[in-house]
Amino acid sequence: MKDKASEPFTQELDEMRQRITALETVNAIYKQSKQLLQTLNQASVAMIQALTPEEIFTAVSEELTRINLTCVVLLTDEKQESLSPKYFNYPTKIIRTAEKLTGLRIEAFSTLIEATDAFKQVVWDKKTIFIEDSKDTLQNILLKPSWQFVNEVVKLLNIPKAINAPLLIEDEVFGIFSVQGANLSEADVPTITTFAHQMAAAWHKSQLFEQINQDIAKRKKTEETLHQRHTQLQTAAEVSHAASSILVIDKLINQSVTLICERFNLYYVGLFLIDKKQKYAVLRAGTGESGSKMIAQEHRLRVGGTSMIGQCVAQSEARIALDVGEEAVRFDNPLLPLTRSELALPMRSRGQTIGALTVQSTEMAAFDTTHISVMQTMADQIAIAIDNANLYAEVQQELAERELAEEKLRKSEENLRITLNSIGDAVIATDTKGRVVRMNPAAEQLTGWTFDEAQGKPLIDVFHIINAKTRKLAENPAAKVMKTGEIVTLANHTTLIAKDGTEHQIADSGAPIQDADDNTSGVVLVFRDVSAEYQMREALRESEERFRSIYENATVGIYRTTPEGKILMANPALVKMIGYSSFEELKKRNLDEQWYDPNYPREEFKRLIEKEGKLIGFSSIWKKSDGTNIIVSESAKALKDADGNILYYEGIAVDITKQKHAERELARAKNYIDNIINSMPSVLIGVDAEGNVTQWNHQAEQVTGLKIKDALGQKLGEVFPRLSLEMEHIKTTMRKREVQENAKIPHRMAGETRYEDVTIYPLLTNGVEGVVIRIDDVTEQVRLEEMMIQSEKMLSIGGLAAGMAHEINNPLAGMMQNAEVLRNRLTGDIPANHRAAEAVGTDIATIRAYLEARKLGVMLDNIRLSGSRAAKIVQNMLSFARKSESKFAPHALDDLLDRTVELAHTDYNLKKNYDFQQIRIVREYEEDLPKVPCEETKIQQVFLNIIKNGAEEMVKGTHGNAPPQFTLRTYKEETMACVEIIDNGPGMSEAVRKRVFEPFFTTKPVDQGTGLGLSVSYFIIVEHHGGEMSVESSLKRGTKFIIKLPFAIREQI
Amino acid sequence: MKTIRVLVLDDDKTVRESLTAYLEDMGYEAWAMVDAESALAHLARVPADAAIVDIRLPGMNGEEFIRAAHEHWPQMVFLVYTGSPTFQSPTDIRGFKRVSKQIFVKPLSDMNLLHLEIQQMVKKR
Repeated sequence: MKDKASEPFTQELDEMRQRITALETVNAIYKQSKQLLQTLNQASVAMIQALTPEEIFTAVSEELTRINLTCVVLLTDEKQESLSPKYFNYPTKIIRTAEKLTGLRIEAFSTLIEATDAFKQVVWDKKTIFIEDSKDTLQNILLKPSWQFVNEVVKLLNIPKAINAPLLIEDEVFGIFSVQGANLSEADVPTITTFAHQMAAAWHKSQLFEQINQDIAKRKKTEETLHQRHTQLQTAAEVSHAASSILVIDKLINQSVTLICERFNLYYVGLFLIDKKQKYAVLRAGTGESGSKMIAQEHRLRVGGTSMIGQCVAQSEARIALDVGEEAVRFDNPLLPLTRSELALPMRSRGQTIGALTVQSTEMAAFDTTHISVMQTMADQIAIAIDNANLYAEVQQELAERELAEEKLRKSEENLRITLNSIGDAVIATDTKGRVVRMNPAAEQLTGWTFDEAQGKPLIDVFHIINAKTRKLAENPAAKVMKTGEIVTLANHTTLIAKDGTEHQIADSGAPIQDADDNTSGVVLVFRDVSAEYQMREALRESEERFRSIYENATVGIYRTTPEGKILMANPALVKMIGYSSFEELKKRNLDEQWYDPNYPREEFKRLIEKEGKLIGFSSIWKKSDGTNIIVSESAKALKDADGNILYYEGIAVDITKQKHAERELARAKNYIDNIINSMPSVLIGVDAEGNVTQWNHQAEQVTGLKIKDALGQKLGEVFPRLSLEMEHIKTTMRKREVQENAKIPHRMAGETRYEDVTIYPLLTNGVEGVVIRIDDVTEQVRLEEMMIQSEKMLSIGGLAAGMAHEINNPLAGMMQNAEVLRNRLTGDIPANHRAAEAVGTDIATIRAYLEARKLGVMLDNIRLSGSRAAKIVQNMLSFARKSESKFAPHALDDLLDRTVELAHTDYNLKKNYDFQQIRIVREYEEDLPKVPCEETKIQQVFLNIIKNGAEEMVKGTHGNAPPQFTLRTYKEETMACVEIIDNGPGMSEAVRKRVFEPFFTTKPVDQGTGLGLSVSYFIIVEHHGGEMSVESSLKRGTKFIIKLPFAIREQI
Repeated sequence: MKTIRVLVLDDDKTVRESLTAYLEDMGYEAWAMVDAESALAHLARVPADAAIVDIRLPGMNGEEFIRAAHEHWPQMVFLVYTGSPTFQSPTDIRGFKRVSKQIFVKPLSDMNLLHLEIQQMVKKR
């Protein structure tokens, strides 16, 4: 507990305490200082024995470590700009950690003195300083990113405080001695300073010591070098000697390398020579096994390549590698693994590098400049020696060659002379001045000069030539050759005039005679008589021209191809035909692949041509270049060689596409026309001017039964007899050039008369003579016409009849009535008769008898019969009258039929000889057949007429002798009601059947029937009712009448 | 039995005469007239029971005669005997019961038919 009273006391106590503390501190410091001093003293002692800076430092640091201090020696650079810690006693582990933290490597570390006060003062001011807190210093030293670790580093290295003292030698600061630790103080500065001086002194001493040692070493080395040089010079001399005395290169170079290698104690020596092409340096000699191996491998290095030799040769400069590991441009040879240093020396002679020497040592930096100069000299000497040896060899060879050449020359000269004299061609040789130096016998003969005469004379004297056409002097060929230095061929039309004036047509050529140096030493002229040849050639040329003209200008294609289809030749026409612009383009197509349409019968072509050796008019489809097709007609021949193998096909090709089309069109047209002609229902016959059949259509075949092939070319009269009557008409037609028509010519055929219209047309076109005859069967028309005429007639008759009926009936009535009265009064039992007979003295019986005797009664009856008939005719005539006012009413046809049958039953005729009762009636009536508008009585009349006829027929006999029977049938057709009345009588022949409706046509005897019945019926049905009536019948099969009446009335004209 | 009186009216001589002769032979009292006017005049003096009438007459035709005669002598019967096969009685006459339904067409091959018809028609009176 403090109180104010005790304050001064307390204060004193405090002071005392402080003083004690200070004293203690001083004491501690003192102790420390003492300790430090002691330590440093001990260190000093240790330093005396140290010889090297390392030893010095080790001694000091050992001592200091004991007292928990670290020390560092930092050395300055020369310029005193930076410091690097060279010696330090931090434990390695700690150093590594610190390095990790700071990112600095202590060995490589240097710091600028300028940057740190702690160093600046020491180095530049030569003052010892005490660093209270190392952090700042450290911070200055370290890089900014590491500043965060400063504290840690300080702690790690245990360098909180430091004293830095300068190290001086001869008053020059060469470094700093830094002591670091926790127990340092300002007071220690002098001690450290003194010690630093001591240390510096020791340092200096060690340096001097080292210097002296170095000097001694140097001296030793120099001695050694001198010795070596001596040896070298000796070797060089020996090599030179050897070099100069050995002419054989191989021996020379091998000896050289061996010598050099031994004398200079080298690992390996190799000698390269450059090859002829100057591309490679080839190893020609090499020491030791490696050397032999490499030579066997033909080891070579490229000039200018990445090898010392390569570069050395290329640059023509020595190359030295003191440490082959460092040398960039080096070929690392696996056979020489121990090489550490190498020398490459160019071998030069007469300004050329002919090779290089490689000198290799197992030691590094084995070669110095003296080595190099000595070796270079040797290399050059070897080079010269090689050169000399080469030269010698060359000279020897040259001599040998020269001798050989001379021999050859002599031989060749001999050969030439023989040849020249033997060949048929004339040869003249001149010198450079154009003077004759040689002539062969052929030349002598053609020119008329002998060699002796001609020798030395100018060529133009001897070889007198003129132009064959112009007769002018021709150019001197020798002169031309001399001038141009090239081979000259004379113009085609050259004439040589011999000495005696004889002329020869010649062909010739002149060439320069060149010596080994390519200098022209003269001219050789070769010529021959081509008079005959010339003419032949001219003729050939003309002929060729003619044929070529044809070939080129032909409008048909001409070709030559191989059997495989390759086109060898094709003329312009062919090229154009296929649509190409040039032969070259066309050539590219191969026949078998592209020329033809896939359908092209190439095989056929080949087969035909190979069989006969040729073919003519072979047509096929070709494809043009644009893909369109043309039709081509080819004629070709196969050309064979001596063995009969086909070499190629030659042929012509004509584009017949248009033709073919035209043909096709024509054929088509012809077909069409033929079709038309054959489809005609008329007979069409073409006849030429001579009356021969040229055309015969289908109908003609039908009618005559003659086929076209049998009719063509025959005389008309023979194939168509009844037309022979027409021949006159035919001639008239042809003459008059007018159509002749003959209508309705009758002819009998198959028992009936048929009618034909015969028309004859003249052929008017194209000056073709002849006619076309058209025959139409008009029988039906004629019949129809006749029927129509009849109808018309009948109609008019009807009209007449209507007017006349009354007029005729009255007289008839008068006639018949009188006949009846006569009968009565002559034979009748009438009172008046008796009275009258008595009055004349006779009686009716007698009269009657008389009548009987003279058949007068019958005659009277006949009068009545005839009258009846006439009346009937008139009545029937009236039926043909035009339809009067319509009395049509709907009636059921089956009803009408039944009533008619009843009528037939009750109708009896004295003359008739059939019993209607016996005839069976079968009815097949359609149900609900609608009523038909018609005139009742008239229809009944029709039905009755048919039934009566039928009944009369059936009396004659029935089909199969069956009981007579009528089948009555009604049925409905679309617009008509149909009635069929069928009997099973004897039927009618076709000839009868066809005419059955004809007016007055009858099969009955003259006094029976009028033949009008059916024609009237027909008239009624067709004209009055607008219906249809027909009959079917055949002999022994019975007859069927078919009547159709329309449901709707149509107006008849 | 009273004799039936028949008038034959026809402009054709042979017809007229032969028909009249026949009728006489058959026991009729028959006379012939040439035309309708004369016939009517005569009938006024001498009536008839029947008449065989031709249609085509010079003046008045047969149908008109029948009408006129029928008016005056309603008991008279008429037979039409004509040369026109196409003749059809006019509608009114067709209705007369005194006129024969049967039209006789010249020439008759058997005049007996006339006789039979007369008999029938007179009997029906």
